[in-house]
Amino acid sequence: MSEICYRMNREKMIKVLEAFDQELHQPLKIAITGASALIINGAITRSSRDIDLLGSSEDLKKDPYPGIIMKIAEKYELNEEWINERAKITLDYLPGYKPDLILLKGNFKHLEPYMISKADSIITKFAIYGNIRSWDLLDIENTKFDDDDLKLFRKKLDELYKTNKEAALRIEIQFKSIKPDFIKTEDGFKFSRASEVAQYALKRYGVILSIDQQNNLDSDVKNLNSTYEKAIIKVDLFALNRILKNKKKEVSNELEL
Amino acid sequence: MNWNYNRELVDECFTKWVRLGWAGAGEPFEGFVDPELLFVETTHTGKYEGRLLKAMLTWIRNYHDLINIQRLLHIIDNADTAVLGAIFDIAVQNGADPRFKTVLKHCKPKSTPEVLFKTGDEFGVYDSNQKEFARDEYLKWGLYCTMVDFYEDAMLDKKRILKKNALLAIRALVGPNMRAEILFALLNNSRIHIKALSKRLGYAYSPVYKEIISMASSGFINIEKYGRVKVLSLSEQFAGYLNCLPV
Repeated sequence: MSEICYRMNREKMIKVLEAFDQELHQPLKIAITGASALIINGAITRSSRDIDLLGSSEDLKKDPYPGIIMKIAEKYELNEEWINERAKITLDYLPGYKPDLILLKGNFKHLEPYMISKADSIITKFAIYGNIRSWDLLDIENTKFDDDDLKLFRKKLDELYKTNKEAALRIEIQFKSIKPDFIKTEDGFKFSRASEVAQYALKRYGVILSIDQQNNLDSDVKNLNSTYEKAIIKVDLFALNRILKNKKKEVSNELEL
Repeated sequence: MNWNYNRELVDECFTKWVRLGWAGAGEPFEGFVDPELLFVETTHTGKYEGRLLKAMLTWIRNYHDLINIQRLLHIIDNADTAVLGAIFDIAVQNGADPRFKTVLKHCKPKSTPEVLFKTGDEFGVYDSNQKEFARDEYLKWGLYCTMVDFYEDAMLDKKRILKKNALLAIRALVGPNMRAEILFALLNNSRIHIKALSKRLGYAYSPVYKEIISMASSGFINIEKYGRVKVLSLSEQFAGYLNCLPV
């Protein structure tokens, strides 16, 4: 092998997947995740050294796949793990989670490459919240989300909230801090009064903001000492802390038993 | 040392790490990369681009035998030594040369703990996350950080790295020491006097002089006297030998 180039931009990723397809003799479905999914669907423009899979219909460690993967690596001067399933670990943090898959159209005969949606990209990137990578924040920051993406994200968070409140809230708060535009009232407007923040806190978490607190918030915003977006994140963090405290109580109760 | 954010320097560090074998995006740096100086620079730029610190951590763990500790200690005051200490500490815990503990002795933890990576998150959510899940490896250096990952599949093998970096090839041959630095300098400067050489390398005159005399007595280096000035050059045969590097 000559010099290893490793990196793939969108065009090279598609070209490599098409070459991979040509080596296959049986159907293979793959679910692309991580930065590679964002790159392929054009959300970000950077390159990546590999294509991360969340799963595949066949075991890629069994014949004939390792040989084919190596052949493509040599032909296109890629790392030998240019396609890998290391990202599968994400699902350990999201048991039962099913991402939305979008078929990548191209010159494929046996290969069915799917990309996870942008909404799923956010969720899977932040699901391992004990080890969020600083550059993942940048990827999400650089990704453009339209209204449909955000609606889907909201829907998925609500679903996740039913089974894993902590993860759902942590992911939501992290996303809001990068994309404050996501912080909107139910009607889709920016928060413009403390009373709206109070309504949000009450309706979503049953938390009451006193009149004094609301007045102070309005005053702080007026004097540019705070923003309603910051207040919303504070409310969310308060709710998260409450979940964590309850979780601790549950653990201690179990120990007492 | 105070260091202000500079996007160009961050980008330059990217290209330098690519030159040293990291499979990061972009073209390799054109020209010579001083590894120890790059470590020092990365303790600053890496705060703004976490992948640089991950590349440095991986490199130190994988290629610790190519690092000139003495040279690093000469310039260590320009580094953020808490960051340098954390990275070398983690590298040692993961298989790098235990001699790096000498480097750790020159590093100081932050007196007031701080979040390692700067993300510009105005809401402080990422900072809170890092404080909540900070790893002990960083906490002992007064840093909040969760990254203890390595680029297992994105670092070139040693042979390829040596091909791109002549200094490292010489270090691989004679060891990561002053002698390697002198030979590399003489290979790139046909005639130079000892004082200028010691200044360029950042070593005191006396140890450089001793090393030169030792190599001259072995026939590797020629010393020509012009009055009080001694001009150095590699002997023709030895220069030919070194020019075969990297193999």
